[in-house]
Amino acid sequence: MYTELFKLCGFEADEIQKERSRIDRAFGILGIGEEDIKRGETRLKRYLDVELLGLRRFLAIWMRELVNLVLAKEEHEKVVYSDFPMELRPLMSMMLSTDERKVYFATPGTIINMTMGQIFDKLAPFQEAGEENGLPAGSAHCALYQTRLGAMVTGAIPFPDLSLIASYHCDQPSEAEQLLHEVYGVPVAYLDSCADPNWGDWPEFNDYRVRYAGSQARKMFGMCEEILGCKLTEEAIRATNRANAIYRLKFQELVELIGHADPQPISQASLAHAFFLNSMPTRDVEGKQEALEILFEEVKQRVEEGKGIVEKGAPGVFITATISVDPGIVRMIEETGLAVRIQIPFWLSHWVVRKHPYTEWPDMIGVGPCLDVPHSCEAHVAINVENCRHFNVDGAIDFYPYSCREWVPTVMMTKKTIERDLGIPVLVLEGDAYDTRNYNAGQLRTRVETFAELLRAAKAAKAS
Amino acid sequence: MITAGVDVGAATAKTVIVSDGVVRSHAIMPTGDSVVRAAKEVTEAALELAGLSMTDLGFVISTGYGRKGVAFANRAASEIICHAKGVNLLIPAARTVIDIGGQDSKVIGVREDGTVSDFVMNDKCAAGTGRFLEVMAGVLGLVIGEMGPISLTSNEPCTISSTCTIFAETEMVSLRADGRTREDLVAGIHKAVASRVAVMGRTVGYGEQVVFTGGVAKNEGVKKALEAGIGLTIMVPDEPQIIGALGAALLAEAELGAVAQAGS
Repeated sequence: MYTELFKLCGFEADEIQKERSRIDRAFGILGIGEEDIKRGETRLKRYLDVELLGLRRFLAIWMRELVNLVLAKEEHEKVVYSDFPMELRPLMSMMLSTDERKVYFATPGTIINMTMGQIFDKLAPFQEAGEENGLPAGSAHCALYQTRLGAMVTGAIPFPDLSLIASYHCDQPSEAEQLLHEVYGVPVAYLDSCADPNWGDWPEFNDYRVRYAGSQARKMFGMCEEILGCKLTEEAIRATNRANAIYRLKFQELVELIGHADPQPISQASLAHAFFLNSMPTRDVEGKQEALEILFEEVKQRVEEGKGIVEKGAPGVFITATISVDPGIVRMIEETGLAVRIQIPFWLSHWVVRKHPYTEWPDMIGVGPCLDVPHSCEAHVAINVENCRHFNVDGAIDFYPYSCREWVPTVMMTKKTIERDLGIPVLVLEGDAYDTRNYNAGQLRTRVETFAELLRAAKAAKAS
Repeated sequence: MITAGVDVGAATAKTVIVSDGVVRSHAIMPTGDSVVRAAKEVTEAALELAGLSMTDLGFVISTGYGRKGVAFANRAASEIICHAKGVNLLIPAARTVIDIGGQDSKVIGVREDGTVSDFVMNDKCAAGTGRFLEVMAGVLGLVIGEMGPISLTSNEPCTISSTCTIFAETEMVSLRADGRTREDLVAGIHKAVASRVAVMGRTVGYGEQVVFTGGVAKNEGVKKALEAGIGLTIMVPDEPQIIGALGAALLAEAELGAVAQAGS
């Protein structure tokens, strides 16, 4: 029933055979039936560049992780969860300090979004269950956390033995995890930060803030060690640093290659599958790196051959967000004839990759939020503008995610600043990065088509 | 050179037949339950009025929500582009178009050549659209066409503070219970619609001449409230519902001309 689907997701026939009983069990728990599988096949072919082996390898990792996640409690002694905005390094270093057979690490919201959302378009039952169990509708709760709570309370995925959560982007992760702790008794370790710099502080970050976040990281690692019965090791830290740097630099190279290519060689919807593994602690570190290397070579070949998914010379745009649950939105934008050169936060600006003076691991973790978008609204706007400048785009699509406390305050500031400083038009497009129930690609199409026609006309006028 | 613009909207389907830059005929009918049928029937009706048939059409552009469902169209274009083009033919001095249709509203900046300079659109919320007026007319037991003339006789329009159709309905029921007159209630409803649209359009800016299109433009009360909201005089074309279809027909004509030129 699902052989074709798994082949599209990069599985070999022998792996499907070997994993059949686990897949059957996981799909049974998730309620994935024949209709869902057919829908999944259609969506994979419709939205993603599944002809590329590199992408199929990434899809394989996501599908394996979905099965691992559903069966985690049956197969491991301890289950540890995290999710956005926690970055990968603290999770990975802790994960690599534990026994693979005993402890399972995951970002369940991201796994479910990338599979049940992107592939099967079947998130609504989880979101509704999340709404009915403590994160009610109409209260602007983050749908990422509604989804993961809903998946737990419906029994699709197990409750964890420990949750590691960061609250330096907004209050939603900590609010949702407090609920998880108070109602379901899950121990939670928080990585907090104080995001209150003055306007004008960017791009400088203050030492107090880094050390505060560092102290939180120390507490978090301590709680991990106590509950998991292990010790954060130097070897795990070194392995994390090495693997993370190699992956991130290669991804940056790929982003640059795609963003400066004309025509746009692959869909940004496909690239998202590589990006989100930046924050997902899979133990398949080698498989992930190999998938990226293969994808890079395939994209390079397309660029050399002049092959693309939009016409050569198409106007280029920057999108101020990544919609993780629905590849249809980005594909719709590309189908209107716009080349999506870059989405935030795929590209690392020079501010983000600069050197800092901290040498202790928890402090190094604390630097992360101070260098990037969570530094401040000012940073958010500046990084948006820098993306436009670096990729020399003709316009920007400023995504307005209704329920996102971090993104919403900067939307109009970003529009105004880009239009004023770079003289290019900005389209504000409403939606939700984690919930497709309130909007769809068809509804947004009129605005995007009009914007595309404006950009084409402006580009033609400029050329003449 | 005969071309057609077919605008299949949420509430009505419209077709305009154009020949050498002149409108030959137009037709309007409810979209009903089938975009395909509505597009075909409204186009046949417009062609019949012009004494023409489908085979006479050199190029067809569809627009509106149902634009992808018009099988006989050569291509589809967004209604924002079409409204700007259509208004530009009738009122070349127009620099802003306010379009309020059955289920959405738009404010469009227009350049001298009829192209779009900027736009903003609301299709998420019924408040600020024709649907809001329909719901309120239903509550008051009025026919939608009666609302404009009734509101013009109001001396003290109500203030409806809710920006949501459902909450506004509740608020209006309370105001009615307080003894406010029908005239004041209807004028208050118009003020609420106009206020939403006027605020939404500020990001584009209002440049004179402002032109009001779409089915709601037939409502004098909304026009008056909009004028108060933006502080400018607003013009309404003779048939504001067909402007999108007209623009589509003009774009079709330009495209057909370009094809002919390339061929020769």
